[in-house]
Amino acid sequence: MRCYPMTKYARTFDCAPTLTDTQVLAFCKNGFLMLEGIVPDEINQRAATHCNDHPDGEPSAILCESWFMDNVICHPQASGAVRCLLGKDFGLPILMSNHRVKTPMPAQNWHRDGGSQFAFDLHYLQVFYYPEACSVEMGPTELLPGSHFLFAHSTYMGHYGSIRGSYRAAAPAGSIFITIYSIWHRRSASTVPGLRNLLKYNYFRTVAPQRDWVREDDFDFATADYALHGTPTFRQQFRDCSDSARLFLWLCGLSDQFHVLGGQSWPIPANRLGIPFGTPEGLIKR
Amino acid sequence: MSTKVWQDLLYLQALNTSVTSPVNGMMLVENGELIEPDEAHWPYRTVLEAIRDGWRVIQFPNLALMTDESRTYALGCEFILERLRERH
Repeated sequence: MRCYPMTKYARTFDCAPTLTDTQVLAFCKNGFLMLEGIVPDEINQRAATHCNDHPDGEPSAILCESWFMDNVICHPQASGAVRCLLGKDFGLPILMSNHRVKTPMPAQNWHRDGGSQFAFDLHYLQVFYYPEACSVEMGPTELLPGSHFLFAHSTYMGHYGSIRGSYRAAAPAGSIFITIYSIWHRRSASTVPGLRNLLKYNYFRTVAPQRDWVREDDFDFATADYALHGTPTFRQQFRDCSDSARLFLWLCGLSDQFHVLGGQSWPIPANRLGIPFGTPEGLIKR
Repeated sequence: MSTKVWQDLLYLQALNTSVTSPVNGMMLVENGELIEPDEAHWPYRTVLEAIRDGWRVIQFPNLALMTDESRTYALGCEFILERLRERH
């Protein structure tokens, strides 16, 4: 078993970062990242058995199991992504929730989880793990891409229903998806009888942000694609670009350089003949 | 035999405040039931299509939510429509 050193708050962990600049930026735009089927079947089965033996809503004792810590919480791909988004020595979960439901069930109301804050920073992540496969018929979590940039109180979302561009996180057993805490989500409607376990836990930042993930030599802040594609943004035109650029620069430790001049300047996408006007001086490639 | 009047509701979130704007979200309350058609089966593509089908707009997008340029509020331009039906 690996060592998970204790701090005054919790156990922390460090590992190799796995995401590139482009992947971190994609996370900023979408607000989530799906890692399909990364946990081995044997571990998934043990986790499912544990959930069935401990059917309460907060089976936190599973975090004392080394097989679970090593293969789920500190899985190289999952923790590597967390490492990129929260920096080194991130805090490990000390609370486990299980959204265990007997299906079929109607859809939940859209919501942001309690404690959500509207912000352009990232101090914690909310992560979900399916120990068993979850098909569309089993009511997977439904996420609205980019909605971490949409301010609304959960109590004012209850009348929303079907939303264009929403993403149903149907996935095989062993899938882990990492989300920005305040992203809009819900349990989607399920249509077949069954039992769905969905484990949910948080990681926390302990260090200041910096660009210490996998750098791409050809990544250019001036011309990077900051736009959210393939889904309505529910924002004013190009606002998605400035929102994701602002969060991305914060993650790079460069939030002091963020400024939007307006008009057709950085960071909106366009077929320009040169460096976009308004590109922060410190971000221009020499 | 008494007749009751039931109110159906249609919540439509549109791209902008025009009734011809594409719909991006939908929730229907019909016969006292909540109905969420899949996007592929939405009965209306615009608010105007719903109006032409007999729905009456009872609330236009709330402009008071759009006064802060620094923050995007929720899904934006929401129309609420009703249709009354007699139930015996």
